[in-house]
Amino acid sequence: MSLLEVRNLEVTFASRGGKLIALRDISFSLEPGERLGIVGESGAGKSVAAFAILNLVSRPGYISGGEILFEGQDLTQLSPQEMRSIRGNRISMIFQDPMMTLNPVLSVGVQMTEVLHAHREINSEEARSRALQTLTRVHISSPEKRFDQYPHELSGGMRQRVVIATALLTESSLIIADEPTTALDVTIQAEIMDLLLELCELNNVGLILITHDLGVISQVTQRAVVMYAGRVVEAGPIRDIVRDAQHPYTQGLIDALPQQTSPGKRLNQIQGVMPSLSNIPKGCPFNPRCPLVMDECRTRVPAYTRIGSMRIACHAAGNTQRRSRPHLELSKA
Amino acid sequence: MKWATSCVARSFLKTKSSMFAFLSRRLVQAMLVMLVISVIAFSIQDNLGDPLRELVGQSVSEAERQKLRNQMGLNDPFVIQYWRFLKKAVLGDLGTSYFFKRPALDVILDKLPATLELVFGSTVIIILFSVPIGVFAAIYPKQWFLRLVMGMSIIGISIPVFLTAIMSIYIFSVELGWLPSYGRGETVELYGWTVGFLTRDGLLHLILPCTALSSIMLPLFIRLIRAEMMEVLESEYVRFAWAKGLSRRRIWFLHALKNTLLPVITVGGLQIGTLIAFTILTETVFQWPGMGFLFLEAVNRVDTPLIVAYLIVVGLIFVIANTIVDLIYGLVNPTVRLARSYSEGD
Repeated sequence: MSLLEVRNLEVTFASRGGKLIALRDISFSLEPGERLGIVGESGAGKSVAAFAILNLVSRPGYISGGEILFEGQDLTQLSPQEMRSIRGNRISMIFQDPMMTLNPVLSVGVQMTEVLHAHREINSEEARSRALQTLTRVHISSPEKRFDQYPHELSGGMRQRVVIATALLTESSLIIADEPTTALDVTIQAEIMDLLLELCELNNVGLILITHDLGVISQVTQRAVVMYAGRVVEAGPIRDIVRDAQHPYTQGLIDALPQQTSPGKRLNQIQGVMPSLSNIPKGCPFNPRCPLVMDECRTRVPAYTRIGSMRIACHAAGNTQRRSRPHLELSKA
Repeated sequence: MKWATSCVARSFLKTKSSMFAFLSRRLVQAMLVMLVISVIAFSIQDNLGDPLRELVGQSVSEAERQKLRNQMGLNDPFVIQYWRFLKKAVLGDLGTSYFFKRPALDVILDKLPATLELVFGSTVIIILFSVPIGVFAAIYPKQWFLRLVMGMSIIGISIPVFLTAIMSIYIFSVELGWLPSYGRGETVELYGWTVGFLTRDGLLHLILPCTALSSIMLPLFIRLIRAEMMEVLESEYVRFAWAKGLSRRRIWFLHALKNTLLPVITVGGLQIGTLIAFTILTETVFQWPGMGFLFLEAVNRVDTPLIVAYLIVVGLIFVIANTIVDLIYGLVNPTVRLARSYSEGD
């Protein structure tokens, strides 16, 4: 049984001007202990997807369709009470900016042990020692001292360690990390990422890593889902995606990686910007930015095509001709 | 400067010596504030009219008046008069009320309990109502009853206190006859203070004046708490708290409320002054035997020592109240408390 299987997930935002569909037909799955990357530009719907798994899409958004099977149980059918017992207990989340995720007026200890109190019958002594143990596991020095400190007394890296420790307290089987290193100093990004991966591996915890950086995902996850304008445009094993990306958007993302450009040259970029939710183009949402756009792309939403182990939503999928385009020659990574 | 004082405020919990540092720092500040207040208070008395007119009758001749003025030092230069005043004031002598022929400070302090009781009662009403209403209005922004309350709070802000007071007297005392319309009612002597809270009659007499006085602040605080709470509910740390699977109660009333209260405490400290100022109106309408009522009478009688004493006592209350507010702020906000030991590691 898969650890998590998302099937045709749809999230809608009910705004004054009508309903906006933020996520459409999102499907992916994750095996126990597996690492999955969700990649895309800002506004692609990555974070919405992450919050949808925990049924925490902020109002006026709501899940309007699909299933989220977690260990065989459909999370969209659970009562609020049952859902609460999953959050932070079976599925934990790590947010982007550790400066913002910890409550400034509560001590580190309170914010960690409250998770245990919410999900376990545990006295404060035990909760404290559990928290101290976990702080040690994320390599925080003098945990007793940190336990009583407040977030503002810790550096960004240390705060993210605290957040990771909080996620590990309850032995969740899935951790969703939403750009866990983006807000940190470059010097400690790798350190925190390594720590997260190491601890997930050690405890056989499944990890969904959300990032805009395909470079990171290609190094740490086994599979990837590429999102654009609320849809999955390409999904498959990371190796295949990096070597043999079929969707022009994925190819663009790979091209945009700095290592794809020789030093001194301008970095590649995908022309144009992600459309806003209220203004998604007809047909394939990527068509205004696509270098390979055909007439069909402007009228019809592409269905998924399977090529090997990959799933691609592109009318040109499998069309080898386009790979001869000079700026798309890539995939040596 | 503000940062520096708050720095001290937070560290006071850590050690006794920093508590001492905080208090002594605060004391110096308070003395400066009081000095400024005393200058202002003392200098306006020149513009309030001739105290001799009140002291002696029409029949006294101009020559005698001049003699009296010289005797009382009223013809001396301002600085000398002020210095004389200050020397006595430091020793607790704020002059003798022309009208009561008693030390002005004593006259004021006799009326202090009544006014403080009024302010305290109003504060209790404000806290008791604004916190739950503000919080729930933020949590359920679309709930019809809370929307109605929010709408009414706008009206509440715009109605002047004296109108609220007179209307409530008309409705609850004159028409319905439920509540007394003036005075303090029966009071109890407690450690030299007269207390109205302890008798049924005293409590009944408190209801209308306290409600009228709180009516200026209540809508403001409901709206402030609601706005702050709504903002906090959108914050990342509240989202994170949801993602941790905490109960709604814990998220709303611990994670969110504690952060909501920080700016509210700050505003509250500043509003204490406004509340005291409005006691003058409230006390007058309800014939409440407090300092504000006394002050208005003193102004009518050009009883300058009493006016000056009132201003100084009110200034002192304001300074003390704000110090207490700072202490409470330091208790709630850890970033204030521990600013000394900043970020280590990584």
